[in-house]
Amino acid sequence: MSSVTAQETTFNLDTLNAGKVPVMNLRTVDAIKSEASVALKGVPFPTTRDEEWKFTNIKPIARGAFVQGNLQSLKAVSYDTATVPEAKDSTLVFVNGLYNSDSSNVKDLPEGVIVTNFKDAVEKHSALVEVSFNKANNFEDDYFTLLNTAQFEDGAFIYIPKDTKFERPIHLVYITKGQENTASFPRNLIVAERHSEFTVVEEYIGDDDAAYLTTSFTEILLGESSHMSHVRLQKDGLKAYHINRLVSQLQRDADLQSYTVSLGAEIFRNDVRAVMQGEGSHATLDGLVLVNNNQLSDTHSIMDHQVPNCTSHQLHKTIVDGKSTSVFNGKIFVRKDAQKTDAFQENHNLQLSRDGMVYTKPQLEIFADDVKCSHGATVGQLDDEQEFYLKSRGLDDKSTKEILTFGFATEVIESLPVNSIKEDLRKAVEVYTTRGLSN
Amino acid sequence: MLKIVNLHAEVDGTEILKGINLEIKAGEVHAVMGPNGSGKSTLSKVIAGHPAYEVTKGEIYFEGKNIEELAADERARLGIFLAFQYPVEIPGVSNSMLMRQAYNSIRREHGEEEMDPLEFDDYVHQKLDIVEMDPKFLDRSVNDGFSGGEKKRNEILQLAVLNPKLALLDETDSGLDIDALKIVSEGINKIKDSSKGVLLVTHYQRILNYITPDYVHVLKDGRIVKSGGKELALQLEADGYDNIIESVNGEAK
Amino acid sequence: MSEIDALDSVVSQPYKYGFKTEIEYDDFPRGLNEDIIKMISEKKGEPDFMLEFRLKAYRNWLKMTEPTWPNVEYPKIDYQDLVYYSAPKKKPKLDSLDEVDPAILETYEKLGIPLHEQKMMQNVAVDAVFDSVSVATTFRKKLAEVGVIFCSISEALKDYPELVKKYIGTVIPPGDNYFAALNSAVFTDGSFCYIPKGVKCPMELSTYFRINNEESGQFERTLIVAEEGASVSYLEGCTAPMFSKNQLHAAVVELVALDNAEIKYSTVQNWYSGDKNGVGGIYNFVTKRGICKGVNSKISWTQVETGSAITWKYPSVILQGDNSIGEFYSVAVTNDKMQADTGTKMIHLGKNTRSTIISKGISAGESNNSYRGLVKIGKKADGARNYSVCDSMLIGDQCGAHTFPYIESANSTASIEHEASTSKIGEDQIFYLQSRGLDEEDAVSLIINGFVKEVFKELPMEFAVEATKLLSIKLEGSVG
Repeated sequence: MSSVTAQETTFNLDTLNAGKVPVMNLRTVDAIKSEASVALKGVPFPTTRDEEWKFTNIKPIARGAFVQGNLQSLKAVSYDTATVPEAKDSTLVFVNGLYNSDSSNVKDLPEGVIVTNFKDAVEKHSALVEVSFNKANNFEDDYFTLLNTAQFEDGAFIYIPKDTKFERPIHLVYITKGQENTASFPRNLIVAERHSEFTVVEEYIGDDDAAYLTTSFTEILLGESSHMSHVRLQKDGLKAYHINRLVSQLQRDADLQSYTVSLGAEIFRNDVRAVMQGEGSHATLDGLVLVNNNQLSDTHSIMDHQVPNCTSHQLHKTIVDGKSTSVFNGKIFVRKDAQKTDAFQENHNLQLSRDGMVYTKPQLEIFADDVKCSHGATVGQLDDEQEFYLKSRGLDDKSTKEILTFGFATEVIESLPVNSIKEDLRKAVEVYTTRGLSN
Repeated sequence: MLKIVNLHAEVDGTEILKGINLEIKAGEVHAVMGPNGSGKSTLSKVIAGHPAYEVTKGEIYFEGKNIEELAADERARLGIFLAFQYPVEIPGVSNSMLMRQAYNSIRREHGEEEMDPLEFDDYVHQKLDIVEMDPKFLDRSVNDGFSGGEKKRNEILQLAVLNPKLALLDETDSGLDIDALKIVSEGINKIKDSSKGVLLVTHYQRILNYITPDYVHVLKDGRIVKSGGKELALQLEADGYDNIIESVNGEAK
Repeated sequence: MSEIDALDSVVSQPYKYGFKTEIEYDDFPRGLNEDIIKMISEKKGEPDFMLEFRLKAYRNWLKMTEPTWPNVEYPKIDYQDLVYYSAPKKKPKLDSLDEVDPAILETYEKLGIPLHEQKMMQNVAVDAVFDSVSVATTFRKKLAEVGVIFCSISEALKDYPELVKKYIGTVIPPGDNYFAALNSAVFTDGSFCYIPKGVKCPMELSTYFRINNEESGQFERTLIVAEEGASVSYLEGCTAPMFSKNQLHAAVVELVALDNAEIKYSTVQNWYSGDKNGVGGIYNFVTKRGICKGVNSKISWTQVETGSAITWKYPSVILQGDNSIGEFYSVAVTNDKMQADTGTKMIHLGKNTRSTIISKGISAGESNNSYRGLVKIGKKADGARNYSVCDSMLIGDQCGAHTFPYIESANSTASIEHEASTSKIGEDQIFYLQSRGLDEEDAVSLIINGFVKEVFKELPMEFAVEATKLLSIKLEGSVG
């Protein structure tokens, strides 16, 4: 009955790369790309009738006729890698989905460490790419995963060999600039061998005045006892559409600390998954979302406990102002054999304006009995007692609210591993909290 | 009453008790002292039958009977009581309900008639005074929201109500202020008599100011390294564990 | 009798209500069409508006599809293979039990619900619904003295058609959902309660549902209206014989509370749940919803779900009146191959509305138990408050526990708190109790009773005892 209406919304694939699939010149990768391209034609574009998209209307994305960026637009942009001083010698810059070698700066890498763009990796490290590409991808029949897989032209490739500790953060910068309707499809592959330690920061920035589309996909394979800190900063322009997928696969005793901070974009949809495949592994997936005006930010997450004795934590905080909307849908999934799982998830939402909307759906799906799993969700305002306390110390209403809002948000960023980014974000939060409360 | 012979026990594959020998007769109070990690709490849990601990060697006899194969509840019904170091909270289960059911299960074991709730209520109220507890504690959930001192007093109340033959007191004094310690100790003194044995596990000597032990044993690394009378406890307090243990090691060499 | 004693006294008996009563039936032919609906309406001598209501619902239903979103699985139901009207042949007279088939009276007696005047439960008025029709209602006269109407909905349609017309379908419209639409088309009986202005109902009202006929679906409809300042406590119990076929039970319950009124609705659901291998049992697809229409009104749902092969039900409250209160207390127990997808919806529309959700799920055997709930705060619901706690307990490693709470807030002055946890019975708790002399089974019973206590204390006394027994029977042998 609904099949007629489901066809109403379709995404224009023909304008992308002139209707063709960009080629990587590596057999296994190209095979996966063309499979995805075929599969894409059989998967309907999501609508709010799909449970997974119930509150996120992406019709505006379907309306655009997007095109990938060209080499010319690439040259017009430069980026100063010293913006994040800790990573000035380990920064890759991408513009409109393509690699910008002029702005990038990678040097003095420890032996065996690879930090490069995907195209380069295909040429120089094809064996590594072949064994790891698409291995962690567990997004089945997902429109945007297929779209990214089929259409990506480049992205980052990071490889950390065993027993290697790479101290400097690796900074990946994705810039969208230029005309309306620019589409980019960054595809990142991160592989860490056993006992490695490293930090990766993904940062997405763009113009405020263009309705561009970013469809990104980051795949992380963490070997035994590896430790990764991951920060994802979404600071897109306020008219942008950004759909991201992040999937990580953890082997025995691996440890992932992942933080996503989302400030920009008109529509942002972020699906994050941690798959615990090895006993003793741990994943933290924290998130901070600040939205205002007509912004919509939607986070879906799955903590997939496949084996016993793993732990996972999630703290997801959102502040909603103006007419903006926040959606959170987080699942703790404990499979049948995953005994002794210890997992908790917290989602706290602060609603600052009368016209904002908050949707939250924390879920537990548990198939093992000897587990400790919990979640909590709150929607509300600032704490009365705290407000009174601050006011009784002489603070006026406005600064009381600013301080408390600031405090609410900064809890998530306090543990970020890169200082300059932490400072930067504190400022961004401050701007948001003062801007947010002034209207 | 209790006889422990060459007891070895482990938890998760780690051996904690490495050959304990101990005999407690009716009417005797034995104190087991030792530094952290010496195995004192393990000893009381193994006697009570905690399932996480595995006896790998040796025997425990209670009133001449080897109790190794008995589950914790069976041991409890025989008359062994463990006052927990960290009493467990059980939301929704009231104290009086727990005690009545426990008490009646012990009576059943002895072929005695069960007490009806009214009779039992009278019986429990008599015991409340022993630990100076407010009757309203009876209606509260077991240890749920109790302060540290209240939890320990609750353990002693259960001891008084269940009236076991052997009381294992696992660091009952820890975390108590002086007033609470007095109440708890006096409670224990009121309960103990010539028919009961007491094994008092403690880190500090101070509870022994209130409860006089007949024997003191020093536990170290899973073994009793020194035994003596109550004066040993005072010596420990004065010289510290290290000195005592060093001198023991010295003797051994 | 204390809770523990109650548990102790229970014998190992999987489903003691599984017997069938042999009586003669007046059945309609299988299948569903407009003629069948007209026959039902005619048989019951209904006013015209009711037939229109039914036909409208039926036409709606034809256009709808069975929901697939619940976390349950079952073979496709052939709606043309069901019998939509099944009544015991002897028709009871309204004022006397003399003409009720003695076999039916005996059935209720066996179920612990004596209907005879001299044996009736003190202070509980009972409406007994046997398959499709109400067979007896006790204490009617006594209730009538204070103006309380308590009768079967069929009688209400005859005696108080205006009242029924005013409220039926106002909380759950005929096209609300697939099963509600089906019910609206074919419902055969159920209870009607009307508490007039300012009256506190002097006794508990209770309906006892019994499915006896193997081939029939049961589609009962209950409507409870509490006028301004009125209050009532209503109990619902259900059992069914053990058949190897599945029976469909698609009930609709509507509650209306006007200004300052209060309705407390308690259910102990113990439909036959099928055997160990999942053969047979009731499909319990029920729509229950109340509306706090007036200011300061209150609706409270308490449910103990221990039966049915599949349970699909979300007793909900629409909080329309300012300062109104909605409550949902639930214990859902699943064992063997049972499936439950149950929870509530709290729809806050009025100012300063408050809701509380306490849900306790226990899964054992190979069962699956899901909590699904919605807390929705409308734009105008200034100062709305919700507090939810959903705890699950797993017994054994072949079962599943799931929690799907939906929270939607469109008002910045609202505050919502939701907590959920899943755990197993703590080994240290069991050890503690064992070290006090309790055997393992007793220890587990005690802990489970503690787990559900918060909900059981909301039940009226008579039901609390029964619920405690049921819980223990349901979980017998699943621990250890």
